[in-house]
Amino acid sequence: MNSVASEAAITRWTGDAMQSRLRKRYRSERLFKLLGFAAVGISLAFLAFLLGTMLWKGAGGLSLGFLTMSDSTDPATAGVWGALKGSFLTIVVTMALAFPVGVLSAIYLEEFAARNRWTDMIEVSINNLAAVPSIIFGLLGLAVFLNFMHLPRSAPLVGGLTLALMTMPVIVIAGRNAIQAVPPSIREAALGVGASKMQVVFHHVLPLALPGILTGTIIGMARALGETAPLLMIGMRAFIAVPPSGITDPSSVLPVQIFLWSDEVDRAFVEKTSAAIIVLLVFMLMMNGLAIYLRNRFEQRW
Amino acid sequence: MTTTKAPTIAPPVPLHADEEPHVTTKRAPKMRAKDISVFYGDKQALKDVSIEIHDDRVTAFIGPSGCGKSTFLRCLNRMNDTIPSARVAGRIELDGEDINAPAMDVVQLRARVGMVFQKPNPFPKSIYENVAYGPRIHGLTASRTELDETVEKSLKRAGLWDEVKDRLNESGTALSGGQQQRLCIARAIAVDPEVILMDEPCSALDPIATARIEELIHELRGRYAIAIVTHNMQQAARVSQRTAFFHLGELVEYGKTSDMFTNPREQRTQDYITGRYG
Ligand SMILES: Nc1ncnc2c1ncn2[C@@H]1O[C@H](COP(=O)(O)OP(=O)(O)OP(=O)(O)O)[C@@H](O)[C@H]1O
Ligand SMILES: [Mg+2]
Repeated sequence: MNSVASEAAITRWTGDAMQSRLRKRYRSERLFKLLGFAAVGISLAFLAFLLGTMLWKGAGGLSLGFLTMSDSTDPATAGVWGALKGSFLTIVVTMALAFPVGVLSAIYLEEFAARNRWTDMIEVSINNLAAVPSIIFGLLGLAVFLNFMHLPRSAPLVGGLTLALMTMPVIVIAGRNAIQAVPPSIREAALGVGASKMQVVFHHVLPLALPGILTGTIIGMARALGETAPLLMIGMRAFIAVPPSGITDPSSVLPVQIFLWSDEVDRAFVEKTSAAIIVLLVFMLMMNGLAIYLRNRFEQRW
Repeated sequence: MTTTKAPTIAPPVPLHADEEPHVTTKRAPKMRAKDISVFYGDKQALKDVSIEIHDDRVTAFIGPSGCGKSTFLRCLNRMNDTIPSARVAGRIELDGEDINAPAMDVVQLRARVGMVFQKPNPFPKSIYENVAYGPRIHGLTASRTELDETVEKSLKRAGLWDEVKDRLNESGTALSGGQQQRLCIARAIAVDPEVILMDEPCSALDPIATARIEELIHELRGRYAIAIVTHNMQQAARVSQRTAFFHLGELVEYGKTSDMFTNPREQRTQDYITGRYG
């Protein structure tokens, strides 16, 4: 119908009908922009609300003493140092394990494994693993690391191992997507001058995929840092007044500390809870900042 | 569209090779392809193609789009291995050795049989690194100065040196399309291969750069076996001594370039060369 009309008459680009169609297009564009802005606004408002209430309630609890002392039954001498150190040690263990294993798995699955029923099955399993609730990983950690391997209870080592199991699938999935996004022509170019498969991967594919891999890692790590449930399962909920000196010492972590304090009857702990939340958020912010800095650095390498 | 003009066959410009004394047909071919068929999934892209490529002459592949020229070229350095759906049947020899045999090292094969791809694909690294990459991974140069020389020589031969000599550290992907293609040519010749496969190396180049590449091909002839895919009949006539005409996955005609362009045996060749279809 339209094509017949356009063959019969010359399209009138400046006519009224065209002008009104044009105006309609602009209208929907403005509407879309407004909706997007509103969507961003909602999440920003929630964030501002959270930060605002936390700061209002917890700012009074923040002091040098709060940062340097550990848990105590007396709110006056209770601090987050032990939990902060525990969180740091736990996340180091998680990172040291989940990142290399996750990236290696992603590389192997994308670049070396043959495409067949087995790799399809592995893919489905990994995707499922990423969706498994974290409490299940806690039960797994309890069964394997504590009851079977007899690793020390309540230790950052076990917490880190458990969280690594949880984070690995996220890194594998992000890594595979990032590796897939590297254009095949780059691989061909490298193969064409006689690079081996490993040289192609490490000289060309990985540098290009690294920003994407790091993005996935940041998300996984942030989730691990805020995780509470699986750590409760492996006994990191004990009352620990001495900060851990190594990854095998009993320890608490920030989210669990927050959980424990929020359960206290003493009103003075309410302030402590909010203050601990502020510390956790700052810790996360610093970690994400570092990760984003690293990602941008690698992106600038062409 | 059909042209009613009388068929003007591309000018049989100075025909080099076979008339030259050093060219002997009796020498063993550098590469020999026998009954090559290629399938992409169930679809057959090449049917029983047999061709010989000699190291003292240039072989041109011509034919309409989609007839399988790139596919054939990619068989010669086993680039089709990287396409999961592709299956190659037939025998291809390099210096009499079966390149698909288990004993053949595919990494070394691809270093010996270099390739310039149809679409320019520089690494997202510096211009210098693009050219230096091959020599470096094969350990062809002993020192940094030697590597510098190789890079400069390769870029000069590809006709790119003057344009990039002051910005070797800039990204190769920031060059124009034609410059990128010449960078890819420089990268391919930097490893000093024995055979060079060029898939439409001049399709994005201006006449001056094209002339430079054709000069390079003349220069390299005799040292390397060269196979070039081109859609430009004049170019095929200018640079090659042998021409192969592909049509719908078949090798229709293969012979001396001079014969092909003046006196083709097949009607289909005649039609294609004179622009009746393609
Ligand atoms: N990766 C692939 N998967 C499936 N089919 C393919 C693939 N590559 C090429 N083909 C098919 O094989 C046939 C030959 O393709 P080829 O690229 O060799 O043509 P060509 O002669 O190089 O064409 P052009 O002159 O346009 O570059 C085409 O029909 C194409 O659709
Ligand atoms: Mg092609």
